[in-house]
Amino acid sequence: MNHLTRELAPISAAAWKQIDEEARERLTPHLAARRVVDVTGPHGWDYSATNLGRVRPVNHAGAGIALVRQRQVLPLVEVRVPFTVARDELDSADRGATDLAFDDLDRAAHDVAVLENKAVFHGWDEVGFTGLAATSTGALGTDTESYPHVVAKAVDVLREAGIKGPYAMAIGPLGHRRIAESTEHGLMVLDHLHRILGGGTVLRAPGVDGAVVASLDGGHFVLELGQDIAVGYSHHDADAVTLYLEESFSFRVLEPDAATALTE
Amino acid sequence: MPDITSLILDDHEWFRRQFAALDDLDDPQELAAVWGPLADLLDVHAAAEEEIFYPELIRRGDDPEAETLDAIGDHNDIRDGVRDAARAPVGSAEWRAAVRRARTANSEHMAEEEDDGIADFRRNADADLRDQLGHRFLAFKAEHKGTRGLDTSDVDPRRYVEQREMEAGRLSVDPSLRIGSLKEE
Repeated sequence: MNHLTRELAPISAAAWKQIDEEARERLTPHLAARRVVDVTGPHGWDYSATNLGRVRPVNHAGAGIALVRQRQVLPLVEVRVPFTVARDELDSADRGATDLAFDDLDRAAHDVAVLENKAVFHGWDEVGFTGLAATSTGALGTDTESYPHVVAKAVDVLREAGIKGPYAMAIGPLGHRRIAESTEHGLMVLDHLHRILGGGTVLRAPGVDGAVVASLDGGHFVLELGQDIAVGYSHHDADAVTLYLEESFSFRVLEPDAATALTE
Repeated sequence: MPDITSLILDDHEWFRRQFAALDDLDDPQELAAVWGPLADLLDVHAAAEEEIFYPELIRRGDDPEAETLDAIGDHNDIRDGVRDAARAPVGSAEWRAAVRRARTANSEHMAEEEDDGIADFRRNADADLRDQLGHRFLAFKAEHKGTRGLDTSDVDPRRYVEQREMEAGRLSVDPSLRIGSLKEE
């Protein structure tokens, strides 16, 4: 048994299968950051830090002529989001039902994805992650007809810095819907943006404020996974089982010029 | 004694003869009389191999991962052909095209399996084990005769191999949902 303690849950193999499938289905559309940055790992739950390959000098009075330096690492963050599943629903899975209600799991999947997207796109000061949106090249606004112009300027900034495309534009759900529903001189704004992005994509990214334009060329940003997102067991009572979604990761920007933010 | 590798080869020979028999027929009723049992056994045979043969190949084979990935992918192609044929009137052009796809996928699969997976297994499994598995293979086919109680949906080859490698202790267990990168290549 591992730390997820799934074997202790009053959940059959058939129900676990449905829970895992639902979690995967719900998470995948929301995990926009994984469509932009490089993902390495998973290295396992016992993997604790990313090697930065750097050292810092240590002043040690008793060291004499010895040179003392300390290796620098970026510790991984653990994320755990609980959710509950009604035991009646789990019993139905054992009777062959395949349309179980997993409302709280859907909410938890959204929460995990928002947290991961925010960490990647906007950074996370408390844990030492710098995000893609550290610099801004303009304001996005709400007038979608101006988006192609604003995004073209952002792409120009990246090109001027020698950053190759194609490029992605990550934008929150409201902005994405606005773009998807808009036309410009009879042309879908979404199609126009697609061309401006050099064949790249406009991503619906829950958790993103404003928008972020970033290169899809590899080697600029690294999301390092300790444990990829997994479903674990916490506890249960007569009515419900409490489970959780859990992952561990670090995030680094290797090339700050490869992304730029567009504020709201 | 029912050596599983011989039983698999027996099925292969039967498949070849039944597909050949279809070549001589035009009447839909006669075609259905040959195709019905053939389609059923294609599904049952694939499932029996996935349940009994390939898990042991993964435990003992010299190059089991590539052989198994190939085989499960082929099984899916065969299942797709069988499923497509079931949706079309027997003898129609659509039905013939679907049967052709199943036949082509099956012919490729049998050749690769005989040259690679089965040969690998013969080198690495003793006669007792092959007989034990043969008994299980026959029992599985009897239990699911005519695809009774059988899930004939496609199987993800990568997941199948990972799952069997974990069971065989050849892979450290990754309990995650394995979403990983979603970046398009």
